[in-house]
Order: sequence, then structure tokens, then C-alpha cells
Amino acid sequence: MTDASKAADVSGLVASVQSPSRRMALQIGLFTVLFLAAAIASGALVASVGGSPTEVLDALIDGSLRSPGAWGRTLVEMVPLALVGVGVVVAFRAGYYNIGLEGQVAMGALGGVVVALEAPGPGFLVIPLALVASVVTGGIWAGLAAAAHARRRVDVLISTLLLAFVAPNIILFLVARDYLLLDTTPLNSRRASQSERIPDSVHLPELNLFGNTVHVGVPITIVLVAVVAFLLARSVWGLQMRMLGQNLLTARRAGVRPGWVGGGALVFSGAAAGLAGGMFLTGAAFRLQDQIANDFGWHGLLVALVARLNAVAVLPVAFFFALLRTGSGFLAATGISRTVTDVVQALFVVAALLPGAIMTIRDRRASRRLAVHSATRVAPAPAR
Amino acid sequence: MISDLETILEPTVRLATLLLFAALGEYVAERAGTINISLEGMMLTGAYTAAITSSEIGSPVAGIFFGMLAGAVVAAMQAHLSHQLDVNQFVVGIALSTLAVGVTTFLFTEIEMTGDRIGVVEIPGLVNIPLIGEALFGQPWLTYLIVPAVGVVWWILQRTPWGLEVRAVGENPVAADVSGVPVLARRRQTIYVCGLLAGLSGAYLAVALVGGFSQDMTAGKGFIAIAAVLFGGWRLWGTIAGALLFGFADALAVALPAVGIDTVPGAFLDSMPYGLAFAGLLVFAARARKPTALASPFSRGTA
Amino acid sequence: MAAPVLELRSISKRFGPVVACDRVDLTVQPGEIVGLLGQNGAGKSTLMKIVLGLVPPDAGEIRIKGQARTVRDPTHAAAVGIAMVHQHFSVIDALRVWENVRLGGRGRLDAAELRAEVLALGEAYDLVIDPDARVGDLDASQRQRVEIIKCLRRDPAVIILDEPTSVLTLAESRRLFDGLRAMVSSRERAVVLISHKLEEILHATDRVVIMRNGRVVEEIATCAADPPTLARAMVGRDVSLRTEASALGLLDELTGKAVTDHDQGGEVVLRVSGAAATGSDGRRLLDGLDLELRAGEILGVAGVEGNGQAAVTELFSSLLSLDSGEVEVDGRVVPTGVPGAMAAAGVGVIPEDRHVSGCVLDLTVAENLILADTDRVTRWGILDRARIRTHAQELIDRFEIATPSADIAFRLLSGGNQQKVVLARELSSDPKVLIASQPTRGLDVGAIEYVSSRIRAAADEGVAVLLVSTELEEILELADRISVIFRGRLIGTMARSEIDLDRLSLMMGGKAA
Repeated sequence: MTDASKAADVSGLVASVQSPSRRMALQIGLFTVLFLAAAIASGALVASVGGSPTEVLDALIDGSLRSPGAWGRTLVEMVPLALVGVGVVVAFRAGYYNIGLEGQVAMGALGGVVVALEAPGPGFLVIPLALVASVVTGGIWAGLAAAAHARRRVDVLISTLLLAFVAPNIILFLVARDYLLLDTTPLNSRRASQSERIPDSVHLPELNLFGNTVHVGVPITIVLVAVVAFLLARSVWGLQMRMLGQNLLTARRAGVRPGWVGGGALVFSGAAAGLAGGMFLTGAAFRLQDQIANDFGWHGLLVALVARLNAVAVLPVAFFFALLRTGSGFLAATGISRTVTDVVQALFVVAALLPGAIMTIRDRRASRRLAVHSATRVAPAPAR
Repeated sequence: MISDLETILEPTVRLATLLLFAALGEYVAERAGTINISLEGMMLTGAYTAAITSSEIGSPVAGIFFGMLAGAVVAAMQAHLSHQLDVNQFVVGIALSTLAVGVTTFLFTEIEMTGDRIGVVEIPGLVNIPLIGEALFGQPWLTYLIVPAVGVVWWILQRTPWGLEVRAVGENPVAADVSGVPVLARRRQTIYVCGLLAGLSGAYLAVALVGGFSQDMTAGKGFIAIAAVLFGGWRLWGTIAGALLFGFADALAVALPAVGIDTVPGAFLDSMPYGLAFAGLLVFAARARKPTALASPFSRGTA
Repeated sequence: MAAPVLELRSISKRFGPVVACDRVDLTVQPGEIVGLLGQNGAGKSTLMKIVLGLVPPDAGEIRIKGQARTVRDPTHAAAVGIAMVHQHFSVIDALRVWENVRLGGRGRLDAAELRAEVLALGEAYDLVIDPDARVGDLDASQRQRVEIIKCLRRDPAVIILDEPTSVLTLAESRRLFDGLRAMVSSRERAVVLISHKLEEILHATDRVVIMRNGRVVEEIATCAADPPTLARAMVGRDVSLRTEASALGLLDELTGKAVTDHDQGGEVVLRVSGAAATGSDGRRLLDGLDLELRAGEILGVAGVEGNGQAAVTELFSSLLSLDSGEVEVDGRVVPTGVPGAMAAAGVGVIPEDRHVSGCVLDLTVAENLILADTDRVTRWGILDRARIRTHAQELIDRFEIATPSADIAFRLLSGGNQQKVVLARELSSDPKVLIASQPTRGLDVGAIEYVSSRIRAAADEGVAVLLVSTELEEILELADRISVIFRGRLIGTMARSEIDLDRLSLMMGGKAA
């Protein structure tokens, strides 16, 4: 063995590994700095159009936390965001870039409304049934893309997206026809394109927490996210998923069937988005119209990105996004358009990308200094 | 009947041109190995910038220029984040598209603007040809630019050393690297080209077709343009065919009610371009040979 | 004597604690062929990458034709007179020959002109090739011709060839060396031949420079050199040419070695009959491949690169499905191309490039050690962390894998240790059959010996081993029987004791069966 390679072999490593805790601290520091920068940039944007950043912040906090019942509304708003987000984490980890969540949320709501309106029986039976229907229809909508990929190599990224634009049109078609889902009750005398309101018995049961009202979807979502986080880290299924996302060929050799595991991850994310739609329908919206998905799909996708595809982090990030959504309702008084929150969200997404980029550069420099023996290679393409 | 066909053909040409400007850019970027999801964001930013410039300065031509520039600004972020800082290119694309929607919507609600539109240039004589005259020779002048744009893109990719290097980088970046081709620089440059063309596409939408801006006015057209490249099997003529087909589907939604056909539900017509693109990919995607290194990041000497 | 075309003065390059080049001096005169000899990791490649502008040096000076230069990149290197024929990866399959030849070069992109140039250079140096062919359709030696033409077109003062014979048959290698001689004799050109094979250095060069541990340790005229001296300089200690002939590239030593044929009484555990497969581009990958492998034997599959070796590995990694034919393991037919089927049937694979299909870089070492066999550490679908850790620790000890912990990312291990992880995983799952594809490529002598001995030991314990390699030395070192793969099928098999190098090399060229 040569002296040079011995030097590298003493520790067995090609890159000096700094202590994990220091690395963690560095990353947390970077996130803090960049998120602060995003907040400052948001303030600057508000100021640039003549608004007052502090007033805007004040209004956001009023709307989302301080005013009576506000944090309950925020928690309810968090539910679809977290469900969509955790589904995205799973699909992206497996290398399946599902970005058509908005459509899957809408289709989930559609499945839910059909059951909620048509199924007879008591609420405690119909509610779960409606949610199952949401899961199934959301899953099917993503499943179309999974099948197209497995059978015809159609890029998941594009197919999920195209299907997302089709979904609201399907709903629009259904809720505009009186022989289908159009609300024909006298209350809708102007025949607005919407479904009938679902009966009170199929509204999600509510809980009262310190004067705030939340529905059972909130605890259910928290448990679901925790379970998925656990399975991703600790189950064979999670390991296979991560293998697939990082090295398709090794995964296949080790017995991972891309169609089932990867396609499964894609369907799972669709099902989670469907559930988000179902919960929004039975917990907050109570009737179907074409814009039912209400940007939960897009924002949930962003939640997963800001959470850096970490399932546990999805909950706090979803809560933060929910704050912006509920808080934006209080912005009218400040004279600033509520659309400012869209910019704030996007800035945070961009800020979330940068720590990874900076760490990559650091690691690359470190390994370039040391990796004499490793061959040049292109990283394997992610499955699409 | 002839006039009905004209009513469909004329918007087909306009909408296909809109898609094709963006698709040409995407085509160049994809040949170098990037799936550029921020295309939609580039178009939207281009559209807004073109509209606001044209409103503030009163010159749609300046609007077009600044629209292209705005597309290139988004491109700069996509290019350097994904092909220098090594962030996943899809994630960057999603982030930038979101940022574009957020910023343009916010600015649009905060700053008032007036609409303006560039003129229609009719080619004397030819415009009177029945059926196709109006569609091909009676368009806003920017529409005619698509013909040289296609030619230039073809010529640059097939006939210049730069184009050869772009194709090489999309096929085998490692080999291109040791041959002396600056891989990441070429990839970034193609994204800049893409940004300029997508910005132009957005500007075309704002100052040639609509004459103003509205919230999220591109409404997924960027993604359809990407689908056109995939549908076309990463070939220029295929991409053009894709843009024409999807443009036609888009035009039907406008034109069918106009010619008095109202039996087809509007919801169906509105989802036609997307559904058709999905179906088109189902039929053609498996056959196409895509650039070997498409969507694979490159960094020298990493294991 | 004329001014040197290339002069390196005190070039140094460190990668962290590793010194790749330590004050290296090298002078190349016009009209000579210099051999740069050294083991893997001795610093040859880094030195040449510095000359080519792919790696910036920490210190030292590069003088080209008497002028000090800072080489920025390969294009700049070509402009000042340095060009390199790469061992792998520098022509592009999807492009035509004339396009490849132009890539990274200068001038307009004029098809007619470039075609004419390719033909003219081909004529001048006996490197005939169709300028309009797609490189993907060419075989390895033709591709190398394209490489050389691409180099010559830049009219370099110095041509560097990096391990050029790894893709050639013996006959083709000789022809290449004749061509090199022609290049330097009539022109003001010089050649640097990088190799770890003593034999070809002795055969083809005027002067040999030997590197070890990043330093030049010896520089002598080839006519004054003999194998023992070179070998000692290269390895740094007295070596037995016999036992380490494989690492040194000494074919004659290997064929002369006294061998006893292994007992071949074992059961047939692997049988492949009539295997045929097509690539995604419609090319034939396997074309009626037949194979029988017995327990406890090592069957070497020799052949020039690109004759179906990759497809063989893919087949046994369940990455390739056959159009026709069958694979039987232990008498049972195993479906092809079904994820995990081969692994489940007891086929272990050490892939040619572990980064492509042998490991997952961002998983931990412990996770990489259980990839293919999660059942043993799983209860109700949940991974048992304690068992994963004990399993990993046991293998780390048994296979002497140098790592501070089982829980760090696999990516951070050095090449030799990564290969040990793959080896440990594949051997620990008690395979019936082991497919080893170029198992020692890119490793240094110590690691090569380690991997070879592990493979030998596995065979002695009754594993049937299929060793696929383009390095004849590797095969002669380990194999009990040798087959040659040519255009997707195995032609002729001979026992280790009846090896005839000439016949073998003819077969590798497809000439005889």
C-alpha cells in the first residue's frame, strides 16, 4: 500500500468528518441567518410599496394567533398543509417528483363530497367513509401518473402537473350540472357552480381547547405525520424508498421494485393530498367548488421543501405557513395586499435552499482536497 | 365554414407561437441536460415586466426588451443555484416559479398599470389568401419573429461549436469536461438563453396578445411548453409539432364558442391542452431518446 | 539536444493530508516516448491532470517548448501543445466521429472540412475510420482511434496516453505502439505513455520514469532497464515477480507459473444457456451466451472491453432481462430482470463500478451492509437497529474495514474501504455464486492483494466464482478455467494449465474458437 493511500486509510475516510454536533450547529445557524434575511427582505418589500413592516407583522400575528379563536383556526389551516407536505416528503425521497398536489387535493375533496352527500347512515360511519373516498380518489389521480411512468416512461414531474390542471375542470363540470353535483337548493338560486353543503352530521367532530375550536383532523394529522416520520427512518419500506431515490440500480439489484415502491410513494403522496382535501371539505369548506384545493397543494409542496424533506420538520413549517395564511386575512387594515404572504412564503422557500447549497460547497471543497482515488462520475439521474 | 376555420386557425397560430417561444428556450436548456421547471416563472416574470414597462414608458417595444431581460434574471437564479451551488434543479424551479407568482401578483395588486398592445402587421396580398391568410400573415409583428427564432436555434445548436458543446454536455458531461468543454458554464448559458426566450414568450402574451397583465396569467402555459419538448422527443421539429398541437387545443377553447359550437362543455375545452399533452406523452414519451445526462447534476471529481 | 517540449519543475499537489505529487520533475524531449510507470495512486494521473489543466498545482512550474505556462483547462492545454488520450469517457456516443473530433477544439464547425481532416489523419497514421459513423456504434479499438485522431487534430507537441491498452487486444496494442513510434519519429512530437504494466513500458518506450508515493523515484533509459529493477522501484521493496506478477502486469510470469488445475468435481451451480439480450438502443448485448460454473471454481471471463461484460454483470444484478435463454442457479430457473431475484437465488455481485450499482453513497456504512438482505434485521417490517449495528460491527472487524463508525455516510470512505464494504456484504450473505466484475480496478497493490485473496478464499469455501475482467493479469492470477467473451458470447474455454497466450489473444480478437 502506498504511503499516500495509507494516509487516507488511517481513518478510512477520504473526507475529514467534523463532529456531527458542530455540523448541526452550523446548519442551524445558517438557517437562522437566512430565514432572518428572508424576513427582512419581506419587510423591505412592504416598505418599498409604502407600507409599514411592523404594522403588517402585527396584523399577521393578530390574525393568526392573538385574536380570539385565531390559533385554533391556524391549527385547522395547518392540517391540509401538513398532510400534503408529508406526502411530498415521501415521494421526493423516493425520487418521484410529484408536483401536481393541487389536483390531488381537489380530487380528494371530490371523492369526499360524493360520499358525504350520497351515503346514508350516521356521521361516525359516513365521515371515515368520506375520508377513505378522499384518500382513494387522491391516490388514483397520482396513480395515473405512476402508471404512465411505469408503463410508458412519462416524466412524473410533468404528468402530475398536467393532471393538476385537469382536476379543477372536472369538478367545475360536475358542480355546474343539476343532474350531477350542482347545488339545486333554493339557497343557491343564482345557480353558482358549487355542490350542496354536506350535512352537519358529516362535519368533522370539533374539540374545544382553551377557547379555540379545532376539529379532530388536527390530532389525527399530528399522529399521521409522526407515524410516517418513524416509518421513513426505521422501516424496511423507508429504507427501500431512500435507496430508490438515491440509486435506482442498486435498489433494483437489492430487490426494490421501482414500480411498486416508487409508484407506491407517488400514490401515497396523492392519497395524503386527497386526505388533505377530504379534511378541508369535512372540517372547513363543507361544500365543493372548482377552487376547493385553495392553494393547499402548492403551499404543501413548499412546506416540504422548506422542511428540507424532513418529515418531522413538516409540522412546524406547516404551522408557520398556516400562520401566514390565516394572518393574511387581517392585512386589509394595513393597506397592503394579502398577496404579500405569497412573496413571504416564496422568499422562505428560497432561503431554505441556501444552507444546503452552502454546505454542499463546503463538503465539496473538503472532499476535493482529499478524494484522490475516487473516480470521476456523473451522479445517477433521479427516477422520473 | 371557411370563416369558422379561420376563427380557429388565427388563435392557433398566436397561441402556438406563445408556446413555441418558451418551448424553444426549454429545448435548448434540455439539450444541455437541464429540465428547467422555472420556465413558467420566467414567462410570468417576463409578462409582468413587459406589461409594467410598456405602461410606465409607454413603449411596448421597451416592454418586450425588459420582459426578456426579466426572464434572464430568473434564469440567472436558476442557473447559478442548480449548476453552481448544486441545489436540486427541480426544487429550484419550483421555488422560482412560486417566487414569480408571488412577486408579480403582489406588485400587480400594489401598482396600477394601463394596458398597451403592439400593432398588427398585415402582409399585403398574402393576408387575403383565403383560410390561412389571416392566420399566417395578419398577426402582431412579434408573431413573425418566431420563424427566424426557430431558424437561429436550429443553426446555433447544429452548426456552431457552441451548439456542439451544448449537445455534448447533455449527452456525456464527463467526456465533454475532459475534452475541454466548460460543462457547468454551458449549462448555465443555455438556461440564460431559455430565460430570454421565455421572457419573450411572456412579453408576447402581455403586449401582443392580451395588452396588459393579470394575476397568474400564464396559467401553466410554461408547463405545457415543457410538455411540448418532451412530446417532441427532444427534437426541434417535434417540439414545433407539440407547440402547434397544444396551441390548437388552447385555441379551440377560445374559438369553438366563438363559431357557435357550444355543445362541448367549457370545462372540457379548458382542460384540453393539459389532457392532450398528457395523452401525447403517453403515446410518444417511451419512444423518444432523451439526452443521456438529462437532469443529472455534474460536478468534477465527485464520487 | 533540442529544448525539451515539456518540462515540469518541482510540481507539488496535496489533497488534504495526502500528497499526490511531491516536487516532481519531468522532462520530455521531442521525438521520444517516455513511459510513466507506477502503481495506482502513485500520482501519475494527478500529474497528468495538472499538465492538462484539470487540476491546479499547489507549487511548481510547467514549461512548454521552453516557455513557462499556467494551463487553465484542456482547451488551453491543446492550444499550447498538450493533448491527452483518455482511458475512458472522452468521446460521446450520440455524436458522429467528426463532431467528436472537433469537440473542445478550435475553428469553425465545418462538416466537410472536418470529415476531410479525419480521413487525412487516418491515412497518415494508419487510423482509418468513417468520419460519419456514430461513436456509439464503434467498438473499443475504433473509439480509441477517434480519441487519437481528436488528439492529433490539435497538432500537439506532446501526446499523453493514459493506460491505452486496457481496451485493446494484444495484437491491437502492438499496432498502437507501432503507430506511436511513427508519430514521434517523423514529427517534432513526443509521447508520454502512462501505464502500470511493466511489459508494455519495456516494449514501447525510450525512457522510463517511475513514480511512487507522489515522487519520481527512478529514471532510466528503457534499454538499460529490466523487470526486477523496475518492479522494485515501482513497489518500493523487493518483490517476487511470480507472486505479484498480476499487479505488475507481467503476463509471461503469470503464464509460466506452475499451476495445478483445481479439482473440478463440484456440482454445477450456475448454468446459463443461450442467453440473448438487446440494449435499449437496439444493439445486441448478449448473443447466445452459454456458461457452466461449478461450486468451488473460479471461471475467468477474459475479453476486450465492450464485448458484453457489462451485460453479464447486469444480468446477474437483475438489471437486464433476457430476450431468450435461461439462467439456472442450483438447478432452479431464476427469472431475469426481476428486481432482487438473482440476489434471492444466492447470486452475489461485485459490480465493476460500485457507485453505479453496488452501494448507496448517502446511506450509512451499516445500512449499505444490509441492503440486499434486510430480512435478517427486520421484525414486522421495522428495522432492528441493534441487530443492524452488531451485524455491521462484525463485518467491519472481519473484513478489516477502516471506518470510525458504522453510522457514517458510505460516501466518506476511501475507495479501497468502499470496495471492502461491497465485498463484505456480498460474501456475508452466503452466496452460492459470486460474480466479480473488475473487482480490483482502481485499487492499489495492497487492496488488490486483499480483494484477490478474499475471492480465492470464497472459492475454496465452495462458492462458484465468475470473474469478469479485461485485465488478463487479473484473470491469470485467479482463474481455474478461462473463457473468452466476444460479441456477447463465450468462445472456447481452457483450463488454467493449458493456457496459451497467443491463442487467448487471437480469441479475444474473435479470430479463433
